[in-house]
Amino acid sequence: MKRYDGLLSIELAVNGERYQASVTPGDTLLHSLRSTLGLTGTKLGCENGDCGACTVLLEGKPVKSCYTLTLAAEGREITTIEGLRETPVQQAFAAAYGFQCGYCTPGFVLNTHALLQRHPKPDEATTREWLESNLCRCTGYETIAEAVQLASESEPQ
Amino acid sequence: MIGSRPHPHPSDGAVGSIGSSAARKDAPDKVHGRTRYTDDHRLPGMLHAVLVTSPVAHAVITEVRTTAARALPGVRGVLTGRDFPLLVGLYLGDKPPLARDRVRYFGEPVAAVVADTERAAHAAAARVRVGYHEQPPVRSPREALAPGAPVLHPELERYVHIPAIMPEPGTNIGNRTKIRKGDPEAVFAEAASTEVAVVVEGSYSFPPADHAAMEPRVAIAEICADGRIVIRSSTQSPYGVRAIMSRCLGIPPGKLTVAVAEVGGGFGGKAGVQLEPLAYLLSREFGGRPVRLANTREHDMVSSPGAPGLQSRVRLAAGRDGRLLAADIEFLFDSGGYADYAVNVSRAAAYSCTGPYRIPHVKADSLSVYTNHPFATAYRGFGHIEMSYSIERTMEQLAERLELDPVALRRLNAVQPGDTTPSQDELDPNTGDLAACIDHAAEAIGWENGALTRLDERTVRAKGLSCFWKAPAIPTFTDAGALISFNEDGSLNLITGAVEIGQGIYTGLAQIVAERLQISPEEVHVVSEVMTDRSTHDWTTAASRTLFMCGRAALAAVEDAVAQIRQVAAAPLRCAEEDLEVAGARVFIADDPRHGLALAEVANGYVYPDGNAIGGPVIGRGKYIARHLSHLDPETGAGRPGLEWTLGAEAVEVEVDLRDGRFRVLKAACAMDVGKVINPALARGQVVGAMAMGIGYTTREAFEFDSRERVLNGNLRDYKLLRYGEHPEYIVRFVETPQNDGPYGARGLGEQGIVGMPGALSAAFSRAIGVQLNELPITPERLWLALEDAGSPDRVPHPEASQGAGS
Amino acid sequence: MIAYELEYLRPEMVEEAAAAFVAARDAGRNPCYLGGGTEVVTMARDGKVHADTLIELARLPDCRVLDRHEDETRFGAALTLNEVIEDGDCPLLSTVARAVADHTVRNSVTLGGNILGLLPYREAVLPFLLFDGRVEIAGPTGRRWELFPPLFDKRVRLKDGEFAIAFSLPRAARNAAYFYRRRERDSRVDYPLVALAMTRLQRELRFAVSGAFGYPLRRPAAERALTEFGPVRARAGAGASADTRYASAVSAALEALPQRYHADMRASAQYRRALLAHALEDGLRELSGAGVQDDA
Repeated sequence: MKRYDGLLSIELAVNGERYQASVTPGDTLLHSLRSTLGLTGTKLGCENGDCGACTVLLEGKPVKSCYTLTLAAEGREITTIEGLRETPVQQAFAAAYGFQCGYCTPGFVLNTHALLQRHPKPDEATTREWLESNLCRCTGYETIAEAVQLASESEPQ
Repeated sequence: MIGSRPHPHPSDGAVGSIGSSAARKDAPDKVHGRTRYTDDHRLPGMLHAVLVTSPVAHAVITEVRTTAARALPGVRGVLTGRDFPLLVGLYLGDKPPLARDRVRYFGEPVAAVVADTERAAHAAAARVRVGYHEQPPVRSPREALAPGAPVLHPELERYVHIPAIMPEPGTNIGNRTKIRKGDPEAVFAEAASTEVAVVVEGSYSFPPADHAAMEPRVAIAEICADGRIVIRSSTQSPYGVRAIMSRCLGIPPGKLTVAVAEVGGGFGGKAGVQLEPLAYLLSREFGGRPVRLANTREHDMVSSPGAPGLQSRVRLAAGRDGRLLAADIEFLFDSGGYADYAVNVSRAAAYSCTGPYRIPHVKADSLSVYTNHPFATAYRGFGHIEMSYSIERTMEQLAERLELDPVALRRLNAVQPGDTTPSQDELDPNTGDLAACIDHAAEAIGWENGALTRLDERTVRAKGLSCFWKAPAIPTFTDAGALISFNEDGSLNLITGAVEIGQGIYTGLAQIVAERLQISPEEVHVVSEVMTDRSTHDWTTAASRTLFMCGRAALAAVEDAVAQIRQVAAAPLRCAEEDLEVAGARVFIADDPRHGLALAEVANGYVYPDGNAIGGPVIGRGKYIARHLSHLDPETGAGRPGLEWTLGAEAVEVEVDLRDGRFRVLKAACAMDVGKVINPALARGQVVGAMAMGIGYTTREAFEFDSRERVLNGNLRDYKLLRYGEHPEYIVRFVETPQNDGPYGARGLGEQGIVGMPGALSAAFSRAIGVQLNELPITPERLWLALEDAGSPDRVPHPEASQGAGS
Repeated sequence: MIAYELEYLRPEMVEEAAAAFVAARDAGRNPCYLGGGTEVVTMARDGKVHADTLIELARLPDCRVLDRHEDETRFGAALTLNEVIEDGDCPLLSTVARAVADHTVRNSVTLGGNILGLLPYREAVLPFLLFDGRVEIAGPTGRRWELFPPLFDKRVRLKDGEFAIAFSLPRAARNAAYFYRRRERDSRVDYPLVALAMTRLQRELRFAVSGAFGYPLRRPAAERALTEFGPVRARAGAGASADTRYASAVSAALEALPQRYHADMRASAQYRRALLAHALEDGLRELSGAGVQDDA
């Protein structure tokens, strides 16, 4: 049995790279990504699992990094917004004005990216099921829906 | 009218960009998570501050024990109200940075823990022990005004305030704005005694709510060795923060720089002054080291200010034909424990108090009242949403009483140029076309096809329409500045004081500048950070005035730059300055464009072939200040408070299950006269976003209090925002009656889409269940209760409208 | 972030986890088993939980099983709700799980966490109550299987230091007709005001409820009332009209249920009761016809 206590150095696999990170057992993945690794694209919105601004992918699946302890993510492939570069989803969110203040956008982009990996042509119910995990206060969701549509119509990755 | 759905064309950088949906300048950074918001800045040596907040709504603080907190490793100190004996306030200096001696609302900051790490600060905050001697809480404005109510600010008389607000010491009234126009009492008296007129009256209310911007507020303050103070903050109002801190803390403004990169949503909640003074005071305690004061979501919702609650009463007199004769209005704004912006919100509700209707005789009293609720600040709509809700509810009852079509009633009374506002200000020829907006909204929602349709024995669809108007509640001297400089390739840099809060201001301003110079918006580089020591002065990014005013300033800066370019180019081009034109990145002879120079050759000085140079860097300077605004007369409210009125109408269709009150908002339509659409996608985005917020505001967003006025739902688990898939089909139509003093005829549109939603939705729900609903939020349970109270659902009046789709 | 000091244990076997709990307890600590973290981590941040030893269950192989046997299906307690949903072996379980929290959160919430966690709703337990499911429990004294209904009284009655390894549903759960109704205050992503799971095994109606009472519940007496008075047992065309029979069946069932409904800021007790009555009626209607020829 492994026991973790106090200040630790662990290896994290983020965006295909290995990071050595100092963590304590109580650190959330959100905190480690932002404060320890400097990956500030992951946003703090509520620290309660409600808003989705902190969404990252763990083994390709969206999870909220605010309630995920860093130790629980040890040994698993983590993808943050910094790991996506000019993907069809990002291009679609930009083209469709699928954001305003942009604070929820990394979470929406990652969730949509995972959705389209799993369901390349999602129906409305599936899109809703996935994207109701994220809150956006600016757009009223209209342009986000358009961005998802646009991305699902683009060339598969 | 522009009714078609705009399709953004990201690669569309063509000249003549006004009216096109140019690529958003902030898109690449935002979709890649590269935008740096305030809390993405980590400074060397930065300390972390965490607030300890009150678990009770109203109490005397008996003791604050900090020993256990201080004992934790990494803790630098614990500060309490006693450490900062001063008051800060936007208009009215009533708020200590940390509560001193008493707490006035649940969530009020009582102490701040400062530590080396965020973790240590949180751990220590949990160990601060505060003793409270609870007092009976003041639960509503009416309770606050009742004889014998506890006076929450006994020192009100001594508070410093601006002349435009009028607190009433010895009471809980933070401000009272009076409107006295014509002789309403005579009209009501006559109406009571004749058959010619009718009078309807209603009372309305809703609790305080929250902005819930996705980015919680944060401020990072440091003091340099030479005494300069730098504050990074998630603020809509960097210059406001500078001015208020200067005034309340005695800091020379030149010593204080407020810096703001991009803001993760504001909606009014980040206007004024927020965490900045406390962050500064904490930094001062620790030798000027950077101190980061970041709200948790819970603190952001409850400890920092939200939207005011309301209790209102409206009495309208109208002729039998529906023509409005007089209004008697009372707005009681629940400002919570402190005044903040609420004292101006109540003022805005006063000068707009009738809604966009022609009413010759008006009496209104609009009060900002202290209670033991979380305090209130600016919220999208700024007094107009509360006003509109109250008026539109009463208009529905008037239509019902007179058996008039509610849309026709509104159309009959719609304001026009030449009418006067409640503040006796004549609407000028720049006023928009409300009647056209009403027609568009009615048509978009299918009003003609029936406002109430029964789908089956349990399900009805109902429509509701409302009108709105809004004028910015701004100081009479509200200003904006702009600076333009040029790069080696002739592209230009635009500096303003406008903050990007999601509205797309960088893109809109670039389009305005690009249009004038006939270049691509891509060639206009908007400096994407405001720093008060090097940006240009700007009142605040609020009141839907930024594109208008910064747009005007930017255009003036372009003219100034053009004049300088002509002056330099006239010599090498051997012509008179006035013969020259600047367009398409060239300066050339207007009547013979073959003779010209690239801007790149002129804008930073022209160099002759022999090496001689003239000119130097062109620096375009532009400015704007509001025109003809005046204070309101304290007794009558007469004056010119609003720069421009944006008019519009909104309509919704809802579907209600009469068995349990569950509903869906199917469609939401807005028709708004915006003067000129600069960027259709940006404009639509603002309107749609505001409508969505209005749906939340009307149907679910409100603080829930327990019997001791503690907030029960101060988090996003329990305070429900609209989610993906819960949004309706949006229909947006723009009418374009030019605002001739706006840039290219544009007027403000950022907030307006929320203003009519509570009225339109309340009308639709009331129609659906056959009961007038005069409280918010309208939840399924509230509908169910109203149906239960009214008897069985079968007693709901059946519409004469045909069965079917309802549209 | 959890601000206070804590230790994190990653056992490799079930027995190790259980022993670690006892050891921590003996050392005067306050241990807690950790699933996906959605409850423990957020509540610890908020000061509602003060566990200072977290024992990770998510990687224990025995807790990750998903075995389909001839007469039962076993679901490891550390499977996420989405893993359970995607398996789809028990349609009712998938349907119930699908309504919990939101899709992203369901990638973290474990089956065991939902059923044994701190929140009172525990909707995923409803199918196990309905179909007489079983739970494999690990604890200081070893492992054992228990039948759900006797073990479950408002919550699973575990002794200190015990945790669930796996859950089992009998074959009947795979293709029984079912009805599920979940009602929230307004937003779908919210706790249920009422969650009603109903099934029909031959001529017997069963149902279990969450939300309405503040704890999940199955009451055989209420089921009998629904079955006795409902159209399930009624001969076509005999006696009172179907509508009247539905109504009397629902009233009889409600009478056999607790009379004290949960009330909080989301809804009043009477609204919850009304929603439950509607759900019972709708479920009764739906299951009266479904899949049983002699009633059609």
